[in-house]
Amino acid sequence: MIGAIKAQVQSTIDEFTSMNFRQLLLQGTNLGLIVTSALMIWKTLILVTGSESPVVVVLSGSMEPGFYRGDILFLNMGTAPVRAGEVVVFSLDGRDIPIVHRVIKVHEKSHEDLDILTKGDANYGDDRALYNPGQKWLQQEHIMGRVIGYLPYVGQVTIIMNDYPYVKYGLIGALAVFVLTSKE
Amino acid sequence: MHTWLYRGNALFTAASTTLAGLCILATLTDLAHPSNPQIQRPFVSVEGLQKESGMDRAYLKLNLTADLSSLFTWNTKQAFIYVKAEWQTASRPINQAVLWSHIAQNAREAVLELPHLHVQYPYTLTDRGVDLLGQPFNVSVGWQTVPHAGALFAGSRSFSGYQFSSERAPVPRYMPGRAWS
Repeated sequence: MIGAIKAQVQSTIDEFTSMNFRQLLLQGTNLGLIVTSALMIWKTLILVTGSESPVVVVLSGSMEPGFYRGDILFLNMGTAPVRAGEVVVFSLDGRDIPIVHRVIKVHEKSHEDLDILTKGDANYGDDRALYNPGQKWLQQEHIMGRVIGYLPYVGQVTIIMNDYPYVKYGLIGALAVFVLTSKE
Repeated sequence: MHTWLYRGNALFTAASTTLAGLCILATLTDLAHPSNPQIQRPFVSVEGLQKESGMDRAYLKLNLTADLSSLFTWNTKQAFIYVKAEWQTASRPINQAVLWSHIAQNAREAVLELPHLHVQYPYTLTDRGVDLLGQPFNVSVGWQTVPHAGALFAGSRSFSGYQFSSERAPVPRYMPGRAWS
């Protein structure tokens, strides 16, 4: 195994040293293209779904047995106002991590002015305990989107990358080497 | 250059592409599935209606007879089934409150026969003001399915013609979730 890794590193170095300036430039452009197209896909998704974060990873078990930690959810904002029974993703003022929970109450004055209360399917009580002190309701601006699609397990990769940053750097490095040395 | 790293990369790419394709196909089969939930119109009685912390709160009892087993396909992980009430007041044209919910993890658990369904904690039917008296309201039975992989599907059936009592009435002792007043 170690021998194989050594051989791999050696061949990668050889690959680089055998390149001339033009080849290096070409491979660098390839890497740039891949990064920018990934960014373009993400921004297009934001535009199409109307949600600022169209794909989220479930981080807690409060929606079990539907959604487990590490599952991926696809969001869509849509134009219709939020209704009781839907699963939404909301982010509270001053907090980084968005929450995926179900809407259990809606009191609406107009489509722009509505009070929303949420609850996790696996939680005993409603979310007032989770909201900021004194906050009793969510408003439309807290809502990031409603859940329309589900994919299990895949988000586990990002959880591992967040918990162990070196895995993330390693993966990004490996991908960069792949792109820079591939000759096709 | 065909080293183990490149072969591993090719294998991983091929496997994930195939898996993604299978997930999309599985979702497409859900679209072709005709579901036909059977829900009987519930009898709803307002057992009590009182002011709590300056807001009207109604205590309902209803019977639920429903068969939602047809929601389940081979790609359905769970169905979230809920009962909600909807009413209007002068200041707020739309008020919705979930009263009861149930998670069915297979078709058998989606067959419901509940003759005495009460509002379940922490759900409450509470107005934002004191405008419930004599108001008409709807009761709907809704559902949302979560797949093993793919799209979530939701639906509901609404029943209208119910009315809150025109006077406040004390809440009977036996009502679950009764607040002390």
